Parts: sequence; structure tokens; C-alpha cells
Amino acid sequence: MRELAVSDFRLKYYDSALGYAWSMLSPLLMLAVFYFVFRFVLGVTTPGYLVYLLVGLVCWTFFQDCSYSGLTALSGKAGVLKAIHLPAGLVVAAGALSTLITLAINSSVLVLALGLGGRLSRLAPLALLPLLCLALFATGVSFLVALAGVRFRDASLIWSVLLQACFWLTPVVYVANTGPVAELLYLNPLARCLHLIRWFLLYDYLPTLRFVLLTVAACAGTFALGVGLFLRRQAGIPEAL
Amino acid sequence: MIELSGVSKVFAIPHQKRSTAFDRIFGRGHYTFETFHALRDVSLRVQAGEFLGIVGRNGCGKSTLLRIVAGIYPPTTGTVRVEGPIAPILELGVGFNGALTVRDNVFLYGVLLGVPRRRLEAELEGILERAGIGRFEDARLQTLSTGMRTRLAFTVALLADAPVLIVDEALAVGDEKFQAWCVDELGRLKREGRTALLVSHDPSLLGRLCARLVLLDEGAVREDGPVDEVIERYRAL
Repeated sequence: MRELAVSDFRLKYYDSALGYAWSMLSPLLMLAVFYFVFRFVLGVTTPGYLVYLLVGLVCWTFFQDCSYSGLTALSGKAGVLKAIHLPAGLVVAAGALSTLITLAINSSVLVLALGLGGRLSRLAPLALLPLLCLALFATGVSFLVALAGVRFRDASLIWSVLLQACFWLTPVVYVANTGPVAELLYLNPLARCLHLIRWFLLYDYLPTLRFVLLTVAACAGTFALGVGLFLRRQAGIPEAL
Repeated sequence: MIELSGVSKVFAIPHQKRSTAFDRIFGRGHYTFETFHALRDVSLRVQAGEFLGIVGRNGCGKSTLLRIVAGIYPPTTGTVRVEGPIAPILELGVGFNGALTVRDNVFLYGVLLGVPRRRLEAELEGILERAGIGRFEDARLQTLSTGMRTRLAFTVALLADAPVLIVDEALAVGDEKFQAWCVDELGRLKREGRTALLVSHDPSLLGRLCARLVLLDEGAVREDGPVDEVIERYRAL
């Protein structure tokens, strides 16, 4: 599995002029666009909005790549799965892991930059927990999407629409901390993770234990659901590809 | 040892290739498919140390049989018992990636076949030498010729220590020299006491490695016996 993940990771950046830099550039480019729109077109004046946005986009890019890798991993390795007895779950996990490597590097750079800019809160180390939750959630979703991709041909179309919806139902680019709307968004585990990551990383804010535990439970639950369902149907996957 | 008893495999072939979610939800009643019996009640026993060849025309279920033995497809009915780990050489070089270097590919393919990474590292030079591509270690795989790639894949596949080998048409490619070399290598594994299931369209090739052949026809075992007799039946089919 290690071999699969590393080769996936390497292949992604093989032959590209900027290599790994792409995976940092894409959130940065999105950052520039969203910052322009929200700051100057919509007139958002939240202090520290730039950093808020940056953290959100790094996490979102990971979620997007990770969940999408579930769709491509199996079809990309269909030949291998049909020729070698290899648990299909391993292939999906390797795909997710490869995006996780990107997240690890990107968030290290992010934390370093925040530290240098003096924007890092004292609670920053705690952000590892919600990051882990995010990884669990994204991996769980990746498994679910992978299963759907085997069953339905149009899963990738459906998923790209759902992903769009998910993007706007998560406070990635806008701020929603209080009020009934924020409460509603808390139903989305992704929103919870993002809140926690920002609170710990940027705002020195310690939420209630209940909030943290519910987030962990939601993410771990999604992970268990995704992996569990996948394992139950795993045996039939090679012939369905 | 490989033992199959009463193995059948039925595929459901939808009339429309893989349905969309839309069809599934709104067209449940119209969802039709045909069943295709790829294997019918196959019982086979391969003793430890035996090389068994399988012949049959295209679409007779050979590949499905190998995939079931390798554990890639679950059988619809019946049981499969295989003693010891299996090295499936169903297609040479699956998992190879043209954009990576030859060395990376050796590791990728080797690990997929269950060869420990450490062993691959230790034997890397030997592998490349035997495959005759020692100079190309850092070249991208896609720059190699098809023959070179196949040779490399076969060399790596031979490293798999598994006592049970499953070889599907792997010998069909390559020139005469390559084929002769493959047969030699497989003969060596046979003397080592490994068990193998071989599929080939070239009966003379199987004749050099196996004492016993099985003839598959329309998913069922038609003939099971000494090489000459089975080949005769196969030709008459």
C-alpha cells in the first residue's frame, strides 16, 4: 500500500513543470480570487479574513482531492484489480493516503507561514485533532464515493454537483460563527472541523468539550460507515469494474 | 495444492452496460439482464508439485477459472481451496506505469505480487541483468520496447516466492527465444516443487511443462487426462 500511495503521489507531479508547487499554488490562486471577490466586491470586513480564507481553502482542497480520489482510484487500477488478488479497499486507501501526504505538507507550510507572521495562536498544537478528524471524514467519504462509482457510471457527475453544494454549505470562504445559520451548519462535520481548526490555529478560542466530542464522533462515524460498507461489498468489486 | 469442488460462476450481463443512477431509481422495473454461465460445476484437483495446463477455445472460461482460483472473483457456488500463498501472473506487467523509472516499476510490481521490498532491493541488479536491461535502470519504462517490458515483468514475477503459480497466457508474447527462456524458468520452478495452473493456446508449449491437461468447453470440464489425449480432443473441437 505504501508503494501504491507513493507512486500515486509521484505520478501526479511527474512531468509537470512546477512539480509539487502546483498543489500549493492551486489553493493560493483560489485564495486570490476569493479574497478579491469577498473583500472588494462583497465588502467583507472581518479582520484577518485573508488568513481565515487560507486555512479554509487548504482544508477544502484536501477534502475535494481526497473524496475525488475515491472515484478515480478504482477505475484507474481496474487492470491491476482484475489480475492480482488485492483487496480493493487497499487501492482506495492508497489514493486517500496520497492526498493526505499533500495535506500534511501543505498544512506544515501553512503553520510555518502563520508562525513567521506571528498569527499562530497558543492553542495551535491542538489543531492536530480536528485535522485528524478532517482526514478521517474525507477518507470515509472517499470510500463511500468509491462504492458509488463502481455501481453507477454517473457517480462522478453527481459527486461534482454534491461537492459544489458541500463547498457552499461549509464556511470555507465566508464567515459564519454565530446565529441560527451557524447552528445549522454544525450539522455538517466538515464545517465543525473547519471551525475547530481555525479556533485552535488562529483565534485562541477553546470550544466546549461537547462540541469537540461531537465532531470527533461524526468524523469517526463517517469513517467507520465508509470503510465498513466498503469492506462488506469489496469482494464483488473486481468483476464489476 | 489446489482444490475446486462444484465451482460455478454466473455473470449478470445488463442489457445496457452499467446503469446510471437515474436508471436505477426511475427504471427499476425495466432493468433487465442476461445471465451468463462462465463456469459450470467445475471440480478439479491439482496436487502439490504438479503443473496443470488448461486449454480451451476463446471464451470457454479459462480466465474466469484462474481468477476464481486467485481469489479475484468469488465463485457463485462451490468452494475453492488453495494451500499456500498464490502468485498470480495473469497479465504480465499489470501495475506497470510507463511514466515511472524502471527501478520504481520493479518495486511497484514486485510489491503487488507480494515480494518483500527488501528482497527487491537486494536483487535489483540481478533482476535487471536477467531481464537484459541493466543499462536502463533510470530510464522511464515507456522508453523500453514491449519485449523488454515483458521480460522485465516476467523476471520480477518469477521472484514471487509463492508455492502456487497461476499463469495466464503470459507466454503468448515475446519471440521464440523469450518463450524458450520462460519455459526454462518455469521448468526450474517445477523442479523446485511448486504447483502451477497454466493457460495457453499453444498446446506444444504446455506439453513441455505439464503431464496433465484439462480441456474446458463452455465453462465445463470436457476432458481431464494426459497431454496427448487432451490435445487431440482440443484439436477436434
